[in-house]
Amino acid sequence: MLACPERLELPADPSELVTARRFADCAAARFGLDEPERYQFTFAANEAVSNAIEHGEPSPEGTIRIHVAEEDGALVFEVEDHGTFAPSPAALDPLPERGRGLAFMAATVDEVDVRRSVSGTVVRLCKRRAAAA
Amino acid sequence: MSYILGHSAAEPGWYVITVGGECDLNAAPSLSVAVEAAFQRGVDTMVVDLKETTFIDSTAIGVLLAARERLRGSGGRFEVVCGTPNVVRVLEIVGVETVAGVP
Repeated sequence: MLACPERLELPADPSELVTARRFADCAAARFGLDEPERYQFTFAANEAVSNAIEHGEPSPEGTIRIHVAEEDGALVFEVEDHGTFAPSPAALDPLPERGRGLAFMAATVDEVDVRRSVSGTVVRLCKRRAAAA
Repeated sequence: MSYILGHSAAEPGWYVITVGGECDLNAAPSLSVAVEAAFQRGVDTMVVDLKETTFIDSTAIGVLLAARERLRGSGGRFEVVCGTPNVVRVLEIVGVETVAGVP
């Protein structure tokens, strides 16, 4: 559990989400989040990576980059893609009622920050331990 | 993720979708297929059993919310049965009420 990686590169494919969740859960456990918070952190991380897979374009090497770190007593999860985070047109979307991801992230972690630039999008999630909140 | 679409001959229109495992972006299309199959067979009471579901994401929750709206629009009933505390908590946070057992 203590030997969690801090960086992960994944192909932009939904079947990779399970790997992203294991990565996030390991980081949350090492950081010391309690069980409900750990699940909420993993839930938010899954949403961020799902968005990168759906709306972003993978890096020139065909991957999405994930990074986890501790900053100022908070656990930070960053997902980087090379797209513009534009929602796909509803008419082309086979699943109804999409687009809740950002709101769900905001409801389950302390901070959500979306930074768009010409080179891509970075979504940054921040979660503090309950005792410190 | 796996699902079973259950039906009782004694109660026409009553369908239970039992979802097992992790229900994410990769699995949501299968959930959508199950929901659609129930509608095509004339569901008026849909029960979604998440007792064996260990993870659910916004895409799958979106599929459930769409089914709820569709059923309510036609005077039908929609219930989510949930047993995993983590999944119950996330559903509560995002505004999906759950019941403890199959109604």
